[in-house]
Amino acid sequence: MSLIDKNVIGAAVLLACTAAAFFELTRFPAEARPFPALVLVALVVTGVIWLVRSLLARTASDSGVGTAGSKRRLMAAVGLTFAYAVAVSHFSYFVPTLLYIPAMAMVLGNRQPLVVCLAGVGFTVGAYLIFVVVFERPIPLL
Amino acid sequence: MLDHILTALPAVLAWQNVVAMVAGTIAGIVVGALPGVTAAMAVAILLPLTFTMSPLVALGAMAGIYNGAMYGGAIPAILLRIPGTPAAVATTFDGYAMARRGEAGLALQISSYSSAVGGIASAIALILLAPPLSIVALSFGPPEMFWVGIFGLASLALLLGEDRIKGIISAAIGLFLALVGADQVSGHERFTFDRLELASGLDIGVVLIGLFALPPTFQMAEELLHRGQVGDISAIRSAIGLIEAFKRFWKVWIHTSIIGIIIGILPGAGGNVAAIVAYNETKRYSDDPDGFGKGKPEGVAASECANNADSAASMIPALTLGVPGGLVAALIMGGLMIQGLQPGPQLFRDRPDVVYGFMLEMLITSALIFPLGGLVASRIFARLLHIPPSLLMPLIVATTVVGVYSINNSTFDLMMLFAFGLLGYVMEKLDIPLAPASLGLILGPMIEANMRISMVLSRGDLTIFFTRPVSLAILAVAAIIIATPLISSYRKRSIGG
Repeated sequence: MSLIDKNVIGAAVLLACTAAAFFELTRFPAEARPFPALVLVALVVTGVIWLVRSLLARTASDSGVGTAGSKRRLMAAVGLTFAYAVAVSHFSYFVPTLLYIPAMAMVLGNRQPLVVCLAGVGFTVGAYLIFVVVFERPIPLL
Repeated sequence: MLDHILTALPAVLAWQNVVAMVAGTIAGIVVGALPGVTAAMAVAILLPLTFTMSPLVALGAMAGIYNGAMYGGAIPAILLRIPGTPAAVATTFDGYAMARRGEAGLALQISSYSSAVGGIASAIALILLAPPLSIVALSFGPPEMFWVGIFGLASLALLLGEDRIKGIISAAIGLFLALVGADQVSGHERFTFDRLELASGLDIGVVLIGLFALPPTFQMAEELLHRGQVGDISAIRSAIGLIEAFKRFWKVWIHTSIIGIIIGILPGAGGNVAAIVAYNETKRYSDDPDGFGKGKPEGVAASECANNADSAASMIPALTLGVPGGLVAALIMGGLMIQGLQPGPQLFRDRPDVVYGFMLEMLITSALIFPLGGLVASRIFARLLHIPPSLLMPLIVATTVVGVYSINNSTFDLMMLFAFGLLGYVMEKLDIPLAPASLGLILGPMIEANMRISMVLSRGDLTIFFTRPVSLAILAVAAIIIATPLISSYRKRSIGG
């Protein structure tokens, strides 16, 4: 995807989101509208300038994206992180963290299973001690 | 005043106070280095423990935590591009770039020296300038505070990057995010999508950590997968002595200390605003403005000096007027009230030993950052970079997830963290700077509240924003500061054809 495509898509998404926000704004009582309206007008004006400027641009440049294989692995890494956030929410902190750290390190190419497993255990215990025992902060527990 | 200081000094140097200040500073550095655990949170945790302490011991520990945490926030900002505290956002701009080229130790030392210098300057200002400067701040009404907010946001959006349209888009996105939640006046929920968790608005800590912590981890993963390795961030090749640092940074330290102190006195604008404004001003006056954002040591010095210069200064209106200049100042005020002391002008008359003792404690704990930060913490924390990036990435994500959950004890925040992490990643891919969005989020409520109060005061007459002398003075200064580099840049482009 060229730089022009990225910017055109980005500007179009921004304008679409702003349009939706304008629709939502009509439901607000009058006294709650002025400042949000000003912010949305600023987004529309700058979004239109960004879109027009991107459409008029003539030079494309390489976005620096890698191979299809590496893209898939990147998506897997992002997906794994999302899954970790969901898992922590539902299954507490310990098991998802113990699994996530070695799994992600492996996805990213680390081939030292003992090191990554020890790091996972060390982090899980260490973070518990610091957050819960020392600072008495809550962590996700069942 | 000197009499009061000399009277308070022996009490401040009692061993119990010294232990409290050293322990508080160490705890502050450690806490500040943990993403999601802010200085405010650390002081809040300590507050209940101060019931049984004498006033000076309790305030000494809080002063140490406050100053230590303001410095500690720079550690993950430099090493991992995660601002440990919101005030360390500007430190990521150059600190992380320095770390990536093997100068993590140098960046950490500069940040510790700069934090100490800023904190000492701020404490001296607190001691010397509290009464007269609080009178100036008192003359700032809602229209003036509205312009202060707009000026801070506009200067960052227009002057930070080369693409000003994207700077404004970023600022507007930040302002939009600040709108989420119940309207302060009507109570009507805005952009909450009927989610109860959003009724009180987006948590600034969660959004900032999402925007600033997760995108670098995705970027790290991307670089690892595309190139098999990331840049050299494992070496700590250089260091700088205090004298050498003083020779190099004294000009930056002086003017960013002044910026931090002035912003610290203004209610509502905290260390994060001070750091970003100081960073911009240093960049603007630099001989090499293009080097900023690419690992310029002056950028780290400016940001860290200003955010610590804000600390004691934010106590000036708190102690003299009972109006805290920031969240931590408000918490320390709470600490005073726990001790049965009422902040305000009468406190200077009734308990000068406590007021001047606290001011001296702010000074001493700032100076403690030289040995505790520069010599100890910098060396210990810089070794974090020896961890392989493939392992560091999941460790950062896990730390961030635990830290964010600990803020509000909320799993919903974890979803917000991920959403804002993706938003930050997309914005970076589109070359939209993240800093204006963060400032928009922070300043949005202040700008809107002061705009609405001004309109109520004037019964809808917009001229209130342009007719008051202080407003006009702020507008004039803002116009000069923003217009000068824009005109200069336009001229350069015209000459360049």
